[in-house]
Amino acid sequence: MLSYKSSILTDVLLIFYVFIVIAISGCIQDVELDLSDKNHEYVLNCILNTQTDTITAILTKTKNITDGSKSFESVKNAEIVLYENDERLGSFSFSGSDNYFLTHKPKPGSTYRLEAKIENNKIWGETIVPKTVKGNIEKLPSSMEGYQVYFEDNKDEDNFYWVSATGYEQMPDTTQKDTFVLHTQKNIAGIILSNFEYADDFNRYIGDHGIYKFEYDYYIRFSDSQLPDSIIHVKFRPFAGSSPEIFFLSTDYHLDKYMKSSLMMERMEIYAEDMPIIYAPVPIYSNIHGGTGIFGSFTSISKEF
Amino acid sequence: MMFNFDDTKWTDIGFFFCYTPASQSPGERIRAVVFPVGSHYKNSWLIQIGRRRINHYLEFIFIIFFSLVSLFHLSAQSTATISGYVTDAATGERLAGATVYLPEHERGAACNDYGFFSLGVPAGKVNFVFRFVGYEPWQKTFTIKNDTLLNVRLESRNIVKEVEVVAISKEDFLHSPAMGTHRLNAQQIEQIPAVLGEPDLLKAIQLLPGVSFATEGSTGFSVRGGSPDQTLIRLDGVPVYNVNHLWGFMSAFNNDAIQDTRLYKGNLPARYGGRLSSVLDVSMKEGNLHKQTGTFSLSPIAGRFTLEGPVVKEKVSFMVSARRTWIDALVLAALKLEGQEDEQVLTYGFWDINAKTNWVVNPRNRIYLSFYTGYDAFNVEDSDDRYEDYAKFSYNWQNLTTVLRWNHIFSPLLFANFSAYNSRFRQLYLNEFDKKGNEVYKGYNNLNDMTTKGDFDWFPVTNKTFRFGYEFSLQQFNPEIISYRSDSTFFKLNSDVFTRNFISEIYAEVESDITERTKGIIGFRAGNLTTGGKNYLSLRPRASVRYLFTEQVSGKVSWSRMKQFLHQLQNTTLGIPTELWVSSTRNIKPGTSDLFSAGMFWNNTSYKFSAEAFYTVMKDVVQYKEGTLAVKERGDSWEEHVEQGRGKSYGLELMSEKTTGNLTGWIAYTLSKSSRQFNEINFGRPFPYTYDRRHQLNINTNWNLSVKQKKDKTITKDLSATFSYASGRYMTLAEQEYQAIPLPLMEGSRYNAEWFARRSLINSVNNYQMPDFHHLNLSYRVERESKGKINSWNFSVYNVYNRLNPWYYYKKGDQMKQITLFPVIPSISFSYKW
Repeated sequence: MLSYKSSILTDVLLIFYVFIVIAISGCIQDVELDLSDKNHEYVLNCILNTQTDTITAILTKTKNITDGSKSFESVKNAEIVLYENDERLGSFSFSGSDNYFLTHKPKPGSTYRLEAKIENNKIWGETIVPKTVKGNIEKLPSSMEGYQVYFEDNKDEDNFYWVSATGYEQMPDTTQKDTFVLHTQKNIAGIILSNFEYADDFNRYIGDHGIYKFEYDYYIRFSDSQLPDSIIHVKFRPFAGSSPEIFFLSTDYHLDKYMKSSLMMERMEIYAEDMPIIYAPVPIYSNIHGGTGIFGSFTSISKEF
Repeated sequence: MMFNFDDTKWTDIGFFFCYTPASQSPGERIRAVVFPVGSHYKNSWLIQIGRRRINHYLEFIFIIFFSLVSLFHLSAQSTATISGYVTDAATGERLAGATVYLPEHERGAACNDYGFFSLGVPAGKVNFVFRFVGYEPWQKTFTIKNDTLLNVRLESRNIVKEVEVVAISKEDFLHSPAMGTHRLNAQQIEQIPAVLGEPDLLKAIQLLPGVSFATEGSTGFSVRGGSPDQTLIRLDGVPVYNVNHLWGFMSAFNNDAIQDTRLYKGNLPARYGGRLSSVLDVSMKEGNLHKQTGTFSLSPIAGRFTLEGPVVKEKVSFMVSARRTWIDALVLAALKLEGQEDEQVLTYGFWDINAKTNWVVNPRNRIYLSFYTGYDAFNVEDSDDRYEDYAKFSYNWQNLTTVLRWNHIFSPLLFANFSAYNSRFRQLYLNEFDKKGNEVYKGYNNLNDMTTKGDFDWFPVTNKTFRFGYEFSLQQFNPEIISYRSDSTFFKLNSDVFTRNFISEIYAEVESDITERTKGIIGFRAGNLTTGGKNYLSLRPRASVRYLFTEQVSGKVSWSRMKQFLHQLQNTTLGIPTELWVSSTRNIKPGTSDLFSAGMFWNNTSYKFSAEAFYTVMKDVVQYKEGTLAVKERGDSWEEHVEQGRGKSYGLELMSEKTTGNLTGWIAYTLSKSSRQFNEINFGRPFPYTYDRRHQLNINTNWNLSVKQKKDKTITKDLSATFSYASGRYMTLAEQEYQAIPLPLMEGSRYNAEWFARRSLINSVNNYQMPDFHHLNLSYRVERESKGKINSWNFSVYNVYNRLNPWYYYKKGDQMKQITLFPVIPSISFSYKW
């Protein structure tokens, strides 16, 4: 199996970096930068899932990137309110787990507005929950082929689709420090193989996996802007462990942007310390006005095999 | 002394008249050499065909321009035309920009890029003054009746008490409608203190107003908000696609081989096209026609050797210049000191060669053949003598340019230059995993440009110059061709992703007096790019107007529309030359820009002052999408990873220059702003361009401390200093981070869970501005001249007060780290000229 996960440019820049390090080994120093210490922002995160009855919102504050603490300051005294099609649904209640909760099942096609009032500040975001996806998931006869999703695209709205899978794997239990213990953990598929020609290439690698030429990190993403027909078939093979559950998500515009920028940043992050000169950070998408974070939504179909 | 040309019609006989100021005796100050062109030339098919073409076609081609001319007031017809070349008396090299002036008639002309001038004069006694900065002016009175060819040699006054630096002439600076033009020669570049004593043209350019640098010490530069690829860099008229050695820390131009450099950044003459923001036109030395001379130079990083001289005296000359670094020896020594020489062999080296030959066929024909190649090679070899653990990586890149040019004087009124050139650039990456070569990964980028063009200067009436020409280019781009071969596998990617372009362009412009105080240039460049079955047709007007307020003050405005058919993709914000050149295609449109400039210019004997405001808008500029480096994949086409968007820049440039006296130099200040906007980058919001620097101040001075005569020796001592200040560079830096919500399906998942629990807060691309940049560089030069042999020592200190300017920031753990490339660096360099 061949898989090339770095580009020519990466090689070249790696060499360049080696050269620079040799040349300037004495010229790297610790610095304290003026990193906007005074302007910590509020962070509001909430993703609506039409399959769940409880909505979770998390309200925290940003911290300096050089702040060594692991946790983020939770904002506990806020009033967080959800509106559905401009009608107030109710206030979230704060729990001991530093999260806010509201019992409600989001409705496909509805518009939601999330507002958080903290002292004299108000931050907010809006999302339109995508309509229910009509489609099905099936297992293909050959295990090398994997699975197939076929669905009907909603032509009356812009859709952003994400295909992925979860499964169970035996993992070392990191909580056991002195003994090696395996435990079963549910994970998202690390790699998904597919030849789907309309897939976004932002998380794609070229590989040689039998019938599939491309591999994707975690998800296959595509939007309906380039789909030629309303009925679409996507064949793919996830590496997801045992008892895989296949998911087909339709996200709103904001969650799509947030997911894509997050995954791009994750791929870039590996260079941050090892090869800082080629590290080009990607801004993470946010639709929270007055702060940062994400308020998005998705509908999904899934099937366990 | 008077010369009568009553009976000498240029077209009938053809005189070649030489003036040699280096007089043999007081009574023989002027030496006239008469070359009868005679019937052989008069009746030659070339001349006849040339005449017929001129008579029949030019009128047709430029009928539009005749109409335009009629808008200008037509000055009185002259009765004769004086034309010819102005050359350096010592070397025979032509002096582009030298001027001829008729004081009594208040009219004059400047030499074109090939040192040719043409001037209509009234019959009778005419007083001529020939000038060029840095040369003794020559004044003479002739009695003129007919067209006359006059070749003039001016003597350099380098070895005189009064220092005068070559710069834009008063004609160009004050009287010409052209603006935003700067000129540097090799001597000026050599005087500028440089890192490790290696004079560098592209770093000297960065001291001029409107030019901002990418990172300290790098040769990458931006002119008025344009990206580096938006400057057309030409060497002897040929585009050079990679102008870097040493990963962009040294330019590809060997200063010993350079004669002259011009930077055009405001009103771009119509003869230049193909880039959006500016033109850097570099001329190689032509080769001394009179005697053999040479230069041998040593700096801590490289050695240079140049030889030039006549092959046939006064007829054919050559110049060859070679440079090689010894950084490979330094790196090996460093590895030895680290005790790594057995485990890893790391070598890096570069060299370049400039060569040129120049054949004066006859007074009306001259042929040049120029050649340049530069090569960089980087190799890392890891081995422990077992095949399984063997790995070798090579990365090298090479430029190769060749140009054949023919200068021809069709008539005293029409000068032409025909060129045919080839410019190639190739990068090669090679990974070998087996000493026997059984497993090899290879990647390369290729660019091949073949062009033929003709440039014509036509002087139909006094104070009117037409310039017109054509250019046909065939370009092929092969980006990112990849192959892999092992015992069991072979594949090749992207071999079908090449672009073949055909560019056909014509241009024309007229420079003319409009009123007594107003002069204008109006012109256009038009053409078509054919690529992948698609045509991009464009018309690009150029216009500029000068108003002369007084004999010392003028004001100018200009507008140029530009088009760019090729793009350089840069993957980092550091200005590292990754040099992937790609062409416009069916999907990627050519870039377009409009350059607007307005300025005031003041010039007296010793000082020049200019204030220029500019406003530039660009569209369809190309940039990699966000995160491309992480997501770009071997086998992907570059087209899938680029975005096209808009750019905007505006600013004010102030420059004060002192060109004579013991203290010469300039102070340049630029206030500017530059931004970019792409639909899919930064969420569609505009962001500061990487090269955007709000304030830039550059002071460059050369102080001639003394010139002493000791027996037969002349000892000259100079002290040079440059001080640069610039607002900090923009970079994208996460200043804060925040708690993230897991992506759907990722909650509790093992994959990079810790990372997915947090996000860096980056509100915008290029959100962080580094601290201000500044440094001071000094150099002290002692030059001893004896019997025509000159040796000079140059002691320089780069970054005198050890300012640790940040080159880059990164985070390691919870600590921010700063990389500084150039602390205080002293150096000594030596050169010997004969």
